[in-house]
Order: sequence, then structure tokens, then C-alpha cells
Amino acid sequence: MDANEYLETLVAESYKRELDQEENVVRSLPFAAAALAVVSTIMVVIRGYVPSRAIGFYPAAVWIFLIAFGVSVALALCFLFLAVAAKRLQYLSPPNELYSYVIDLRKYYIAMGSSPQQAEQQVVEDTRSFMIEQYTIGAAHNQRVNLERSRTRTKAFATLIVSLALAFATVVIILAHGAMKRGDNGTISCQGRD
Amino acid sequence: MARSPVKEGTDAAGRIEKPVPPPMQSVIKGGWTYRVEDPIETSVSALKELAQQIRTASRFFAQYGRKRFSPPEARTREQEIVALAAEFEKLAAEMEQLAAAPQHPLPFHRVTEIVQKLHKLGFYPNNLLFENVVRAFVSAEKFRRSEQSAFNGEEDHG
Repeated sequence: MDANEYLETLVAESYKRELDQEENVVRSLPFAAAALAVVSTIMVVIRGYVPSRAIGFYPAAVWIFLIAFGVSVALALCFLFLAVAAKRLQYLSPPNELYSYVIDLRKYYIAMGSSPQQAEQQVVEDTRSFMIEQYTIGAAHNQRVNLERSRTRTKAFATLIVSLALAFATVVIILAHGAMKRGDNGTISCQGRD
Repeated sequence: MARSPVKEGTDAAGRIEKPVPPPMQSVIKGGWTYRVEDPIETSVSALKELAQQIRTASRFFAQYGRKRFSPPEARTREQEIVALAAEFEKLAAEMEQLAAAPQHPLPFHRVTEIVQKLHKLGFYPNNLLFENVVRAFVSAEKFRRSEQSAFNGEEDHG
């Protein structure tokens, strides 16, 4: 194996990895969808328990949590949109153009007086150098795009987790308030009943 | 502008030219979009990519002579390099307009002029990206010629 062949293997591997990584961002979106479905369900369930006026400690706490929840969901959706927004990716040249290039190269070397064997060797060397360049440019560019997408996706997931936490916190506040006020089953009642 | 009567694939002296490899394929992907750029758009993208690389690496330039640049001098040099990156971006914007005017030649000479200015400032842009620009221009020129000849053919038949 010569140096160029070795280099080609390395850069081709890196190029393919970046292509896979690009798909990974999209593949991880069902997690976001599941988290959003959970928070939507929670909101539907607690809708009836949300106090109508934010006067007093309990209603104010519920409304603060709900507003924070709304903001975090909006942020998460915004980040998700940015993570899947259209970006320019660099792929290898189209196969028909590669084919024409190799044919033209062969004609060129034959016209320059090389024997068919020599011409074939030169075509292989030129094509390999060219492909190494394409893999390198493609991998570097796509890696930049993927990094950007991955960072945005991470932010989206982080804000989604915050949304989940806020939704659960709201549920806990509502349940705790209900339990303290009514003393369901007579176990947690703090205020007692008259 | 009159096109040179040189046969395609040969230089002015009639010698066979080594074929220029095709450029990278630019694909716009994400959201609702999946689109392959046409050769003119590819040239524009290649120019923007080169400009971005120049901006990113503008701090790294060669200095000639015994004396090192003072920080303000280095900053000025960096700004000059960034200004040339902006020239590439301006050229890319002009190229987008040129797509609608196939009779105008692609301004490749301006690319070489800017690169020469960069070399004078001691800055050498990424060779792979520059080569990709060259290939994209060659491909765009071929594309424009084929479109022009198709258009002429249609006119002859019409």
C-alpha cells in the first residue's frame, strides 16, 4: 500500500463518517417528538387544575412554572427547527462527470504518447489524488455543518429536558396543593377539614 | 464577447490540454429542501467557501524581512486580508446576477487578481478550496456554453 492509497482510505472513512453523522441528527428527532408528546399530554391533563387568577402564592407559582415551561418549549422548537434547517453539503462529483473525467484523462495520456499500460497507471494516480482532494474538502465542510447541527440539536434537547422538568414540577405543585387542601385519603392533609 | 475559436480540450497553440476535474457537488439539504445546485450556483458556493476560509485564517499570514509586525500593523494586515475575503463574497453576489445573463463571461480573472493581492499580503488561501473554485468555474463555463448552444439550436429549428 503506498502513501496515497493509505491516505485515500483514511479520508474516505472520515467522509463517510460525516455523511452518517448528518443522518444521525435527523434520526435523533423521534426523541424530541416523544418528549413533546409527553409534555403536551401533561398539559392536557393539568389544564383543569390551573388556577384562573395569579393571586396568592400557589397560583403565582403555577403560573410562573407554566410561563417558564412555555418559553422553554418555544426555545426547544426554535432550536429543533434550526437543527433541521436547510444547509449546503459538499458531496463527491456526480458519477457521470467523474466518468467523463477519467475517459478524458485516458485520451489525454494516450495523445501525449504514453503506452496504454502507462496511461492506465497515470489515470489511476490522477484519479486517486483527485478523489483524496474531494474526500478532504467534503469531510471538512460537512463536519463543520454537522458540528453546527449537533450543537443546535444538543441545545434543543437540553431545553426539552428543562420543559419536561418544568411540566413535572407544575404537576407536583398542583398535586401537592390539592393533597394539602383536601387531604385525599386523609394522609397528607396539613390544613385539615372543618 | 467573441469566443476564442480554439477547439475544446486544446490550448491556443492547438496542444491537448489536461482535462480539468469536475468540482464537488453542492447539495442543499434539510427541512423541506433537497436540491442539487447548478454549476453557476456551485461556483458561487465555492467562492463563498473560499471567502469563509480566508476570513477564518486571516490571522495567519507570512511576514517578510527581519522586523516583526507590531500588533497594530498585524491587525491592519489582517483587515486587508478580510477585505479581500469580502471581495470574494462581492464577486459571488455578482455571479448570482450573472446566471441570468449568459452572454457575459464568467469573471475568473477577478478571482486570480484577488488571489494575487492575497499573495502580496503574505496570505495563501487553502489550495484545495481554490482549486475547487477553478474547477467550478470551468464546469460553469461548460454549462453556459451547452445552454447557449441548446438555445441557438432551438432558435435555428424555430
